[in-house]
Amino acid sequence: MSTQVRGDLDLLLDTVDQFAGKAEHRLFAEESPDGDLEAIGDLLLDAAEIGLLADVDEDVGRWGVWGAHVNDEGPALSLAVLRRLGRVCAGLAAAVHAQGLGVLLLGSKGIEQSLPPGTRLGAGFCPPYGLALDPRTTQDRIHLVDDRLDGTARFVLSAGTADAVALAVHAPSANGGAAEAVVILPVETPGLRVVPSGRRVGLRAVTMFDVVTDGVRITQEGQQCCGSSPADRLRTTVAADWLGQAAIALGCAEQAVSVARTYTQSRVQGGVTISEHAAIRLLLSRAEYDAAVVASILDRHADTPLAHLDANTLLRWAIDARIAVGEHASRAVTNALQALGGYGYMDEYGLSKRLRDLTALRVLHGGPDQLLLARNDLGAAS
Amino acid sequence: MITSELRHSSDQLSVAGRALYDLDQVSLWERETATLPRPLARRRRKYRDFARQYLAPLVEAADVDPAGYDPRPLLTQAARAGLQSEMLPPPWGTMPMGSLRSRSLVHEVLKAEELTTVCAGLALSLLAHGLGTVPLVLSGDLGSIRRWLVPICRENKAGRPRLAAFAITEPAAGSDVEDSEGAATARYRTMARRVEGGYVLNGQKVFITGGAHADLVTVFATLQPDDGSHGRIDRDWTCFVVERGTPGFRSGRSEHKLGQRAADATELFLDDVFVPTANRVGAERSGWALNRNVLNYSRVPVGAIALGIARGATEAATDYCRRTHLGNKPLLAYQEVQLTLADLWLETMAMRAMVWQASRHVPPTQAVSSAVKTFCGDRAVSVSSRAIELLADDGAIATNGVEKRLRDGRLNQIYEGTNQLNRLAIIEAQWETDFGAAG
Repeated sequence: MSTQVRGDLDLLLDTVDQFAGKAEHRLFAEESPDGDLEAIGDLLLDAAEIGLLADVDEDVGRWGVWGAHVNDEGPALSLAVLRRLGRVCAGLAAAVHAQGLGVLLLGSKGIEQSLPPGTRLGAGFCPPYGLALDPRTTQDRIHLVDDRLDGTARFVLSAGTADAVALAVHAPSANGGAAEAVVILPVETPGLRVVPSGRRVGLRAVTMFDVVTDGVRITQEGQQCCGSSPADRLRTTVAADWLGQAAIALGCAEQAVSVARTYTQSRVQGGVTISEHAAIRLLLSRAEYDAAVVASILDRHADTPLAHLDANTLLRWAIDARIAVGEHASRAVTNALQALGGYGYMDEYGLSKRLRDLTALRVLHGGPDQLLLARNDLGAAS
Repeated sequence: MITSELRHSSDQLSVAGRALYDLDQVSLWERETATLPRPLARRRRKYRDFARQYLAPLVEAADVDPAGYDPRPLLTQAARAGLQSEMLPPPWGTMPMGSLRSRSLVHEVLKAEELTTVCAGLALSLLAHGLGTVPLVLSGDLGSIRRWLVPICRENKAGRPRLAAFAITEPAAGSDVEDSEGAATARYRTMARRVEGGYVLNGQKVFITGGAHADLVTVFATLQPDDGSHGRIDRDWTCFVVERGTPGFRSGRSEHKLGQRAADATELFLDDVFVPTANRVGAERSGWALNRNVLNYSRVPVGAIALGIARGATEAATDYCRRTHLGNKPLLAYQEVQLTLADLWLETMAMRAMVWQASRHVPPTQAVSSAVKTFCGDRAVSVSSRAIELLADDGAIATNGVEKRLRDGRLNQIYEGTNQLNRLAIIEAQWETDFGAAG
């Protein structure tokens, strides 16, 4: 990344900081376990206005999270934005992230003519159980046969109410071979149902739903959106998803440790602040170490343009980062919570919310064993 | 699965060989129940049936909206079933004869596990009553037992809930009051002042489980020393019964918390509360020892609460893997799923072995109780975390029943002394015999 670009990015990150400060004030002005979720819509409008949201119009959303810049500059900026937003609210960060995934899955070239700027997207690529990358899930995924879609994509994320969904589907070819396709469908398409995912442990600020297709006819316009290399776009989107989750989790963990540091420096036990107790020092030192591990993994290829990374290297990196969410970021948050004792368990310090959000992140779009098996199937690193 | 070949082969064994080889298809729960004395085995079934009948329908409502959930009907059912009067034997209470003979906590851990397997929050809302009465029993003060405990058991046996709660924690003193080192310097504010005919109590308690509904609370307060100094809890602590309705005594807000939400964690305020001398539990300044022993007795059932949480997560994960398919096979058919499920089951079995073993220590000791509490609390979090990971995305969805177990289990690493403090308590308790002097 050039010095000029780096300088511009620093300016952008200052804007992100201002936005994050505003978001924190709006969401958590009053004690509420998940913040004021009514404010999310306005915050996402602000995020779009300052360019944090990727967009189907490449020029509008170029510098947004997972916008077109990642192909030339690498994902460093997207990861930095998500990390900073993750400090405030992981669910808000996930909403910004979700829009980028939709754009990534579609690929900018194929969609410019069919969707207006500002379209809110959901990216659907998860089978009912397991990973789309796992060949064992093939029959469980949405199938595209004879211009008809049937099946379910689960756990689709979007920044507020989605206008359209981008779906990675299994499209067996006429000669019996298997293929991937990506289609774009407005949510009001006949035969398509959007089913809310139900009450979940965390990340409540991001919209999550299942997409059920039952004989959905693919129009000519929809087929145009299939574009080239859908299998590559699916892999890139899945990798970006896991990397983004890790960045959000990292921000969440860093903020949890910061809250715990502040608390332990004011709470007295045994005649000294508890920050002097070995038990607390161990908890928080380990938490900081855990956060550093996640940061280190995320840095591995952050400055490498995505176009320069081969698919396996990208996926291996993303899997490592996502597994670190469960093994390290989660431990950082739970150790920070532990340092506050009973107060950490109560909602008022915000650590219980961060633990809930991390619990959702550690399994979002794949459990660790599923990821490890997928990593194994990628083969040895070159 | 027992193959027909194995069955055939076992038929070739001698009579003695067949007698020594158990191929019966019996669940682990039944096998373990069969190892209990018959009265306790019956009690275990009763607890399980009660949990399924009365707790299960309430789980979601009590977790989603604890403020709107009315615990009274459940408390009444529990009282009628004899669950709230087991601290005394018949004819006063309903303690099972097996426990009476062995003077053990076995029935308490059986109850804690079975209720908690369904819902830790609802279970705690019932079990907290028992904790509130423990100081009365352990004081050895027959006056207190006659005055307070016998009527409590009598009322509950009759199906009229009369509840107790246990109050030690304060805003600036949590783990301090569960640790010798912390006790010496704790910023403890609940004070008792001797007056004509009794005592006047002032102060505040926090995180009191059952505090919102308890009819009486066993409150620990520092008795003002005669020399006018502030007093220390390890020298001056004294336990008092404070009844609801006593002038100056009121409950404040119940905290919003991560899990075990059906059980309230409530503030209690004492403003010039007069209690007669008869409300003192045990002797003046015996509170520190009484408190420590209460924790010795309570931490083993707290380990059983963690066990129930782990078992609940394990059973929910097993059920999910039975009904969910990957490709054309249920998840249970996949090796990686079996490996994780086996881990969940074996960790739960190890917890149960430790809890049952510790429950037979009479009287319970600090080292063993702290060890059980700590080990099981950590394992409950580990098991429920792995259960969530096994379900992947569905693990985060409330209706699948595992995310709540993690939220619930996380409290077991904190209450009754943090697990860090309990680890230190093991060393402290065995210092003379196993660590310092023995070295």
